[in-house]
Amino acid sequence: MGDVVPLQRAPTEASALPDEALISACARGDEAALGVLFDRHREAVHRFLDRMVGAPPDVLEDLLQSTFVEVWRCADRFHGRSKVTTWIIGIAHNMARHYLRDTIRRRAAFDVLAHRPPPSVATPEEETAGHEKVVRLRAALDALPEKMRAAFVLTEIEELSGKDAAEALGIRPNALWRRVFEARKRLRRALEEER
Amino acid sequence: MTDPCPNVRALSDAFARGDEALAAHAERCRSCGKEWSSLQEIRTVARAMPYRTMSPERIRSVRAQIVMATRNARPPANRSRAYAIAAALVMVALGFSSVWMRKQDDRPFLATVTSLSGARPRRVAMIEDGVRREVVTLLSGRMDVQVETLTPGERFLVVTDDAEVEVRGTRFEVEAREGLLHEVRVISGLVEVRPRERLTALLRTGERWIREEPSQARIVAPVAPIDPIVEKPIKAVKKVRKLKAPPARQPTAAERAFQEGWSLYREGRSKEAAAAFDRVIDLAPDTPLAEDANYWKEQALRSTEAW
Repeated sequence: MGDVVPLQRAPTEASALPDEALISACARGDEAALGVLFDRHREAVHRFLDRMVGAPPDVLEDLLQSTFVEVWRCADRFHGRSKVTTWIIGIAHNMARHYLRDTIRRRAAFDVLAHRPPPSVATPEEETAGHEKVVRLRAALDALPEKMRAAFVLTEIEELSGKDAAEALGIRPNALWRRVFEARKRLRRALEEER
Repeated sequence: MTDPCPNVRALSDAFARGDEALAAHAERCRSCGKEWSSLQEIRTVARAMPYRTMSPERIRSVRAQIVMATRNARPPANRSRAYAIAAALVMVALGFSSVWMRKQDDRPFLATVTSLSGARPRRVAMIEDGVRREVVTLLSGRMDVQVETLTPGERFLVVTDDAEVEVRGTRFEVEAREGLLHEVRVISGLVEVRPRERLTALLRTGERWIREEPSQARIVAPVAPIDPIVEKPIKAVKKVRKLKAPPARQPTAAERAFQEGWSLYREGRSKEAAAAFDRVIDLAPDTPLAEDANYWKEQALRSTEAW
């Protein structure tokens, strides 16, 4: 019998690890793992927060930052029952919800819109969809109750599956679809109003 | 034979789920097809909405601030099951209701911060051992801050390059210029202003702390009622209360170490500064000075590391 060679795991770069392993590493205090998670999910979280709260850029960055600090703090409570993306979006949604509750309700609607990108410059996608419609839909989306807006943004814009979106929002799929349906009704009304 | 038409809700759900059978039905049925097109239009327009992105510089900045915050908020690694159960039992014994706890834990920020003139404050909120903390860094501009009533242990600080402002359930405005604290105006409550290398000032409702170069800062008592929302010109000031010099006192070893650390940090000698701040923590553990030292140690370490 030949020599027994001990099995050695090759050193793994954090960037090569799956999300679940990174969360586990965060729970053990690995800052590099959080950095990789930030790099992977920053854009999606920032985009979701932008569509949810429409706040000034510095507030968005604060919410983004608080989301990932919370990911770090709660890493040991992630049990893999949902996707990491869904879990992080759920945390971001919590941040957005509290921000909206505490701040938006005290602000006038025009103030909220003032923080949006100027509608005068149309992107190629907007040109296709109709620039004016995009502006109207955005205003209508901002006016939606937070629960409906979150359901609509996650399923229709961020293209999460019903199961994932419901998990991120902590609700049952039926409740999710009801909210999406109500949101669509209101948005449709807004689009049709000025025809 | 034609399929029966689903109701509007069923069609909406089917559209969201990408139900192919109902999509085929919508192609054949005029009324359902119209509904389907409307749903498609909303989706197309919604997905065409532009969203903001961050510049690479801002991404790096936020990333660095996250790591700074995480160093102050280590996750409870290797927490044993028995410890968790014991902790839960203690909490039940103390009579905390779960509803109250969830409400406390969920809140990301301790204060409502409104920018009044060009302020771009950076906010870091964290919960450590169930206690919330928030640090707002202000480099320039003026902002209105309304802090909730804090529970024991909770801390809310505004930090500039040269000072800290700490409050306990109050409302105030703070202004910084080029990184330096310029003015603090208390609308209600009590605020402690701790400028580096200057006297600490305790401000009551209506009082203001104003930087005056090169002499010492002063506290101005208010005369006109202050409108907390609309900025109004301040009327004539009747009296100016100069800060009295404190009785002569030798700084403690911890205070000397802090000053040394601070000077080193300002000189850009970050590693030595971090070591000096470490000494402060050893010399005066569990004191506000140690907490300050810990914060500046993190800042010093951060400036030496590429993350």
